[in-house]
Amino acid sequence: MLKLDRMRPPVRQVLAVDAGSRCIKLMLAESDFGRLRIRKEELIDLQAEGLVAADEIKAHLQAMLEEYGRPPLALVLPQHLSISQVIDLPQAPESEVAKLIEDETIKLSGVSESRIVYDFVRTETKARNRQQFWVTFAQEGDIRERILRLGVEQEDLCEVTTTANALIAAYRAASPLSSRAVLVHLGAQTTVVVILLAGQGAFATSFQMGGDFFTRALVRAHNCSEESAESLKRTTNLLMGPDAAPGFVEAVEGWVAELKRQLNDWFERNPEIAPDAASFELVASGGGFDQPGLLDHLKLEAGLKLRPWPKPTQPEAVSPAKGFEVAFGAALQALGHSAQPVSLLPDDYRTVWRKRVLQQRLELASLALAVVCLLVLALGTWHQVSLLHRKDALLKKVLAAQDAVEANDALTADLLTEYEGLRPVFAAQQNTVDTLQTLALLEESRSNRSLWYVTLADQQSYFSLPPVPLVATNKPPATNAAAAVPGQPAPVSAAFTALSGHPTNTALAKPGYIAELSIPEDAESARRMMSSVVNDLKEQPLFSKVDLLSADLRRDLADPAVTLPGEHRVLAMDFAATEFQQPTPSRKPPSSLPPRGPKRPARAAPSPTDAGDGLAPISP
Amino acid sequence: MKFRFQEYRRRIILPLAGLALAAYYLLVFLPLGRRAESLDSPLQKAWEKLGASLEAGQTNVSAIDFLRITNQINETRQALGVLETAKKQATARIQWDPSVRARMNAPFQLVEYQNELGKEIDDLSSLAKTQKVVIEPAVFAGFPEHTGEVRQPSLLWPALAAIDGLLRTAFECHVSTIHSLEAPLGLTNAPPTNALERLAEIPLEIEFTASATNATRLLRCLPLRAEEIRAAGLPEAPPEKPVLFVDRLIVRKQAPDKPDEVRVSLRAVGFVMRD
Repeated sequence: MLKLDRMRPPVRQVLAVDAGSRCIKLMLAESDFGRLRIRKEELIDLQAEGLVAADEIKAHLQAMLEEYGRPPLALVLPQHLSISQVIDLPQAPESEVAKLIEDETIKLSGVSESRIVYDFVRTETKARNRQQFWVTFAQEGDIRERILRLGVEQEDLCEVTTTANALIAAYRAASPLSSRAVLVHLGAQTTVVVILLAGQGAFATSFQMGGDFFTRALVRAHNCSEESAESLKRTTNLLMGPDAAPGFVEAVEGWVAELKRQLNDWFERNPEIAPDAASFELVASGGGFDQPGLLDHLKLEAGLKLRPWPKPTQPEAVSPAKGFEVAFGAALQALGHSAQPVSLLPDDYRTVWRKRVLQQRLELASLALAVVCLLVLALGTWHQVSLLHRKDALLKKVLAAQDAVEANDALTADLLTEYEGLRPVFAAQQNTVDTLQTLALLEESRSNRSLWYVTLADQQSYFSLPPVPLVATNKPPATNAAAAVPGQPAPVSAAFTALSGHPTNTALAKPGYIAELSIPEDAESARRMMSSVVNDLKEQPLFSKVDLLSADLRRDLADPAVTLPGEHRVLAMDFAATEFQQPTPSRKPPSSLPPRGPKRPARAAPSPTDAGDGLAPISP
Repeated sequence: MKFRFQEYRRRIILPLAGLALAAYYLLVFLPLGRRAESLDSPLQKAWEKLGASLEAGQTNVSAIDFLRITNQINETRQALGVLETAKKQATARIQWDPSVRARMNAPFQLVEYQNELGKEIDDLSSLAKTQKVVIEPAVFAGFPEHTGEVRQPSLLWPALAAIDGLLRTAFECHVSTIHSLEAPLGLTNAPPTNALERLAEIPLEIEFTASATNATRLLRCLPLRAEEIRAAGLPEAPPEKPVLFVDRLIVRKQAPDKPDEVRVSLRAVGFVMRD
């Protein structure tokens, strides 16, 4: 399920505003898919810019905001307007914790006409059956007054935090491994002291002694203007050496005394930590520490080993410019990069901001939906384009195939026309070769056999003659032009011309020959010899069928004078099928030219010289 | 809170994006889909037409073997090549002597033909006497004559040449008697109008008596050209002898007292390839 509460825009910007009495520090930070970046840091020196009146500050700030593109704002509340401390509570359900803390904050803040704005985060504790919270609260009136003073009440306020909490967030970003530290922020008017324990806020306070306090001491000591004293303070080591100013040193020692008092108070309230006081890192921040020789003086004279704000240990970590630590901490908190976010944003601003965030989330969801739609449309477009191309390609392929088929039909028609034009030559040539081979085979069949052939005729000629009457009383048909006289051979010349007059006869004729032969042997020997001759001829691929011709189909072609009565036999030899004999039935091209039946190899143009030698079948 | 330009710009992005998507859908996506769909009909028609061409009228062909179509046309081209080779060989074999072709291509002159016919009969008669071959009167009566019904007189020349070649080869093969000869030409047919009719048949029907051996020799000589006859070791034939093929054949033994003698009825054909 989509959790809108946790959903944040992937790219967010915030302008952290750290407004002090002398200057306003602006930091435009950005969280780009979880990666923090500082886009811009700008310091507005109020005195240098001549911004004295509140309206002038507001106008200038508005101009700056316009220049920045009016991003959401994170305001830093001066520490003295708030209270941050650890509250120890008994174990209670999570739902009651807020109520308990609210009660505590009311007790701690005392009687006030203004509402208290508070926020808290849970901190670690070793005490059993207790729970601790780092609570920060302030009067809502102070917060609103602060907002009004800056003139940003109409802007998108996303975060209001205190200097102490901003320092904690910034320090944790710079030194995530440091668990114990004392952060001392020396501002123009206020010094903020924050104690971190176990990396979490444990104590925060402020006292009204800052850089201006030292300046005023210098004015008194040197009897000069405030500007001259400020300039001198920033450029000269007034604590040690030839330029040392006793009045200035006294002021610093007073500040040190107050700082120590604050720290001692806390250690006294936490006696279990006091022995380890030396283990706390002392970190200095704020423009007050720009005073030359101040850190050395504190180290040598006051025993405070304050070190400058640390640089991040990780090379890719973001680090603010010097003096922008507080603004950086506020930006971290606003962008959700702080482990202990404490927000003092008043309820109405919080509601507006939540609405704004909700709207952003909806916009983000809508944008995601639009992206999904775009992807779906892109995918659909790709699919349609692909489909279009495939259909187009298939259409072209089919049309090309149709052209090929038509071209093939045309070629086939040409082929068949050409073939049909030549087929009579091939058929005649094939018939000649078959005839000569038949003569050779018949001659070969006479070897070592006592038989002779008396007649050899092609089947067309043979069957065009009238059949021999089986019953002697039968008369030859009157219409038969080539009628035979029983006992006399049919006239041969009639064979070539009478073909068309006898459809029944022509139906009997196949490509092949009829051979009549006489075997002067006894019946049994003659039968065996006949079988032997038939079997030998059947093995020849030239013939598809070799067999005796039945008596009713016989013609009276042989001269009775040359035949032996009772020893006369008629042999029918059908040539294997050949496509040359008939016109090509279909338009399909022959697979090869010209194929013969299965028994004979195909020959394109049979040569008459293929016939064997020694062709003399009809001889005694 | 002010409603600023940036806010306006930010808020307008999504509706604009939505509008852009809708516009894209309506102006690009839908027309694209319609265009793809519009190809269905021509594709279906082309498919059915191709299926019908391939499967003899069947339009509901689910699969078409395009490779087979390509192969088929290649096979047809190959077959045309094979046929062309066969045609060249066949044409070379049935080629007539140049003098005959010249006469066929020249305008027919009856007087010229009659002179040649008479000369041919005289020559063959005298050669038959020399070779001791008996020629019965019916033989010369069967020589082709020009009549009013003849529509392709040019075919008389190859017919005469075929008879000359047949008889001279028969003389060389020592047939004993030639009983009859006919040249039943289809001379009354109209000249050819298409490629199928480019081939004219010259049939010759001859009846002769010879020994079986000599008859077989003559039959073997018929489809050969003069140089092939020589190469086969057969009797000499005139150099201009045309190729003749056996169409019909009847061989009969004649008389018991002459066991080696046969009477042969032969129908031989020659072909003329007309341009």
